[in-house]
Amino acid sequence: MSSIAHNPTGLVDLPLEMLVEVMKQLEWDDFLRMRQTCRHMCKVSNARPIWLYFFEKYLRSTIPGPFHPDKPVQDYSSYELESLVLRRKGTEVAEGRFPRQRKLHLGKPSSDILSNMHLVHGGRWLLHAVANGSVEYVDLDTSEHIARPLTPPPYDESACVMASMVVDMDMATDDLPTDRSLVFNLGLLLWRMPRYDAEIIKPTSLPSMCIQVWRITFQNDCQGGSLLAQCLSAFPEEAIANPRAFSLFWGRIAYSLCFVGEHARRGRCVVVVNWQLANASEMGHQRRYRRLWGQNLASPIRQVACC
Amino acid sequence: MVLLVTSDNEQFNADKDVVERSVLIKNMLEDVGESDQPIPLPNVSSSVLKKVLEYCEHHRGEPLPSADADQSQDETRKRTTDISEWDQKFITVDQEMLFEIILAANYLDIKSLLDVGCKTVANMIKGKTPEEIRKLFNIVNDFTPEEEAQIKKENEWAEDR
Repeated sequence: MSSIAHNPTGLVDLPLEMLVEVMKQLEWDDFLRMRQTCRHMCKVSNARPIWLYFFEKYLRSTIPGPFHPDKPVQDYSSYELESLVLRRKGTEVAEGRFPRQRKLHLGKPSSDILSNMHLVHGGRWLLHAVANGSVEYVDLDTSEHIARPLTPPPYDESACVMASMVVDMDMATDDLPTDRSLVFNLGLLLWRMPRYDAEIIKPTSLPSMCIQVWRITFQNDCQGGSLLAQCLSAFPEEAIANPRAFSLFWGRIAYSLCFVGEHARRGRCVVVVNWQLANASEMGHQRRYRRLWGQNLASPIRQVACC
Repeated sequence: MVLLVTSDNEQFNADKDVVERSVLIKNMLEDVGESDQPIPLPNVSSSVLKKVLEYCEHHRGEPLPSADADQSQDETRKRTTDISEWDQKFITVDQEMLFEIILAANYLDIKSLLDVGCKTVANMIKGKTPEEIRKLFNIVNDFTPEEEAQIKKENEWAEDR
C-alpha cells in the first residue's frame, strides 16, 4: 500500500460516482478487464447507473435488433440489467466468430432424417431431432461437427418418431447459474407414427404422443463446453390425433391437435398444460389440462374444461 | 469580476462569464446577488483552480449543457470518446493532477470538464490487460486466486477478442 501513500490522489481514491463515470466511458472489453483489477473496482462495476447506461447502449441498438424488455427498465434490478447486457454481448461475440456459411456433415446414415431442428440463441448450438425421437446437438464453434446426444429416444430405438421442438430462453426460475452461462428449457412434442402392415395396409400399432420438458445447461469442460439435459417433466397425450402447432413459455405448454377419421371429437383442439403438474401423469389425467375445443377450422376456439 | 479563494488561501480574480461555467459558482452568485464578497472554494487547491480557470476561459461563451433533463437517454446519444485537440493538450497532465481536476470538476459542477477527465482516464485504460491497468494506477490486486479465476471465467465468454 506504500505506493498509494506516495500518490495521494489515485484512481481508486476517486469517489464512487466518478469511478462510475469513468467506467461508463470504457469500451466493452476495457470495462470487463477493469472490473478484474481489484475488489473495489469489481464492486463499483456493479453500480446500477453503469448497467442502465450499457442497457441503453447495447440493448436498445437496432442492430442486431433491439431487446424487448418485458417490464419497464426502471423495474429491473441492477443485477438483472447486468445479466441481460452480458447475455447480449456474449451472443454478439459468438456471432462475430461465425463464418457466413457453413455446411454441416453430421455423418448420419441417410435414413436418419432430421425431423426438426433449432438454432439456440447465440448461434453456437444447433439442436436437431433424430428419426427415433432423440435429440442431438452440434457445437458450431468447433471445426468438426460431431452430433452429440442430448435427450434419449422416447420409445424404442426403432420407432419412427416425429418431433416438434420449442425453446424457452426466458424460463422463470430462481436457480439460474451464477456465472450467467447459457440455460434454457427445451420442450419436445414426440409423436410415434403408426406402423403399417404392408400386406393388409392397416396400422398394426396405434400412434402415440408424449411431451417432454428438459432443462438444458451449459457445462464448461475441457472440450470447450457441452450441453447437459435434465428432464423436468414428461407425460403422455392420450388423444389420437395429429399434432400441429407447439409452444412453450415458463410453466405452460400449448399445442394444437387435429383429429381425423371416426374420432368423436373430429376437428381441432388446442391444449394448454401446466407441465409441472402434468409431470409423470398417466393418460386420462385430463383435469390437469386446460383444454380448448374447436368444432372445425372455422369455428372459434372455446373452453370446455379447466382445472 | 469575481474573487475566488482556494483551500490554500490563494485569491483568484476571474470574469463572471468564465467562473459561471461552474454551475456551483453560478448558483452561488445567483443566491448572493451582486457582492464583492470572495467565494471560498475549500475543496480546490490553487494549482488545480488555475487549471480549471484555464479551461473555463477557453470555453467561455459556449452553451452550457441543459440541466439534467432526462440524462441517461441524452448521454447515450451525445457521448463520444474523442476529445477536442485543445482539451487533449489541456488535460495532458500527471495522474495526480488529472484526478484532482476530475474531483474539482465534479465539486464545481462543470459537466464538460468532468467528461474530458473521465474520457481521458478511459483512454488510458484502453486495450490494457488487468495487470497493466493495476500497474498504471497503482491498484493492489486483493482478489484471492479463486476469486480471480472465477471473475475471469465470468467475463471470458462475453469478451470480444
